[in-house]
Amino acid sequence: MRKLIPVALALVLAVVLVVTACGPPGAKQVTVGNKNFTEEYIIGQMMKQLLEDRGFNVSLTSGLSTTALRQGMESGDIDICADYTGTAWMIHLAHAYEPTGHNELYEMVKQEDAGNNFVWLDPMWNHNSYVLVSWAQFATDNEVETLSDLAALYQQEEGKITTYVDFEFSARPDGLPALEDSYNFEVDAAYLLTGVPGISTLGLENHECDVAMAFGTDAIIGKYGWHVYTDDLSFWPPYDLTPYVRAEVLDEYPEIEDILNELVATFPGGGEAATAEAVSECQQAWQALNARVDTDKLEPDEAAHEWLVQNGLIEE
Amino acid sequence: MRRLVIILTISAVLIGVTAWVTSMEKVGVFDVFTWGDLANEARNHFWMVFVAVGIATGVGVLLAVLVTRPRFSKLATLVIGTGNVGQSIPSLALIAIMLPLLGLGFKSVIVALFIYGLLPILRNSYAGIRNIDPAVIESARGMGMSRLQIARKIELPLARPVIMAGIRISTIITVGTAELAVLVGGNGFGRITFTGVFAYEPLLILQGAAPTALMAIILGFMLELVERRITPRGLKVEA
Repeated sequence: MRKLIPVALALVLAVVLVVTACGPPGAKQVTVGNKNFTEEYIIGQMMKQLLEDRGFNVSLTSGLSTTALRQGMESGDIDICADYTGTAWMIHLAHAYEPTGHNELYEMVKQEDAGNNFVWLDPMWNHNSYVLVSWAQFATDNEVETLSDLAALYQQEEGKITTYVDFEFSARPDGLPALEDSYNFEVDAAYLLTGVPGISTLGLENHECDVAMAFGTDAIIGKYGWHVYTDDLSFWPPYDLTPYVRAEVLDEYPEIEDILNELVATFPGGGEAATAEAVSECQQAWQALNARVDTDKLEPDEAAHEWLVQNGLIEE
Repeated sequence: MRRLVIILTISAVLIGVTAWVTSMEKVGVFDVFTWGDLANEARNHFWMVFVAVGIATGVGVLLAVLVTRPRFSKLATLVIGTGNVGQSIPSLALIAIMLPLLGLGFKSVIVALFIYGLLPILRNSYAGIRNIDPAVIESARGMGMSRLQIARKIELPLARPVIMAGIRISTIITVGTAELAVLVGGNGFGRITFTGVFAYEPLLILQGAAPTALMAIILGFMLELVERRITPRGLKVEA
């Protein structure tokens, strides 16, 4: 027993050292957070690697849900993240959405969130919106093109069309319940599947459902040429991926703004006002990036590294 | 008597919590689930548990009877050991591993829940049969009963309370584990709980977790009543 005491003490000491361990004294320490799907894993890695290259000591908190990430930003556990303008407007700032352009929505979010001590940097105009998708065959067979057509089909089939969404989407104000209200249809509860992010497209890939929720920049949509239902009633806001930082952190390290804007500038239309071409090109750029991970099976950190090197932001 | 009061109190609290959250229209910006959703998921949840425990009961009791036959007694360690391993796999891993093996949906869920719920039934049945006084079996044989008759009329009835206890434990475990079904394309209360986890809304998590706990308590209590009912009079401990 007595022999155990020094061992136990050593263990406790080791744990304490590990827990309290910091980088070299005086290092610039920031925490980057990202959400729980491909695009977010990549942008988190991009910000982390770029900031590290510019002399920061970065810890990364990865795989958070939208609200968890926001709470981390609010509590100060996370200093930097990238979120979507539409998500910020409807979830974090809890507004109803009236059809608005990309630039206007970005300005509205930037302005209002400044009051919460968050600084929104330059946006990437990749409009990674929620979309509903089907196999092209299904859309052709049922002659459905837009979400209105699809809603009519749901009505006709009394909601008995197997539909796969993720947890967030099933409850968000820009998610399924509100979408059903807007387009006036209802999915029969027995035909509605809900799961973790990414599983809905896996379900469609395996023909476990007819309609699936996806993200506009998901690589898998292009891979299979899935039919994307047009949002003909403009239910969804623009969703432009934008880094934002806690004001206190930016006060301490003002250089973060230029560093991250430099990253945004590597994307089409980055640092400029949004145009239709910029949105479409930026969307394609992100689709290609997501494909590096989802199709080519690179790790998000590898895909991020590749982009940063290709665009001359960091050395090989 | 005191147990009944505790059970009723906890149930009342759980029902109260569920009703309270369900009566809200939204928590934060998120929609809460309706009573209709709850009823629906209650059906789904119960059905999963019923099917999985049903299969586990059939397989578990049969296996236990088999390995208590003298001829197969060498298999006992192997079978019980395999059951042990089945349950030592973390439930989340067990359900997740079904995804590549069996794909999304009900089938994966049932297989995972079955593997996970098998051990308590198997082990209890095994112990219940093994612990019967050999003298009783001996006398049955002396009366000229066949092996099948002994199993049916002596061993299983005497072991029944212990087997039922196994089924009850397995049911309670499975009600909890079935929360995870939603991760591989199943349904049930997990749909509500996990929406709460992803929405980061404690109240929404409660809306799924409270009815799950309630279901476990109610089913556990009902099975306990059955257990008492079917205990042979001679085995009942006088209170």
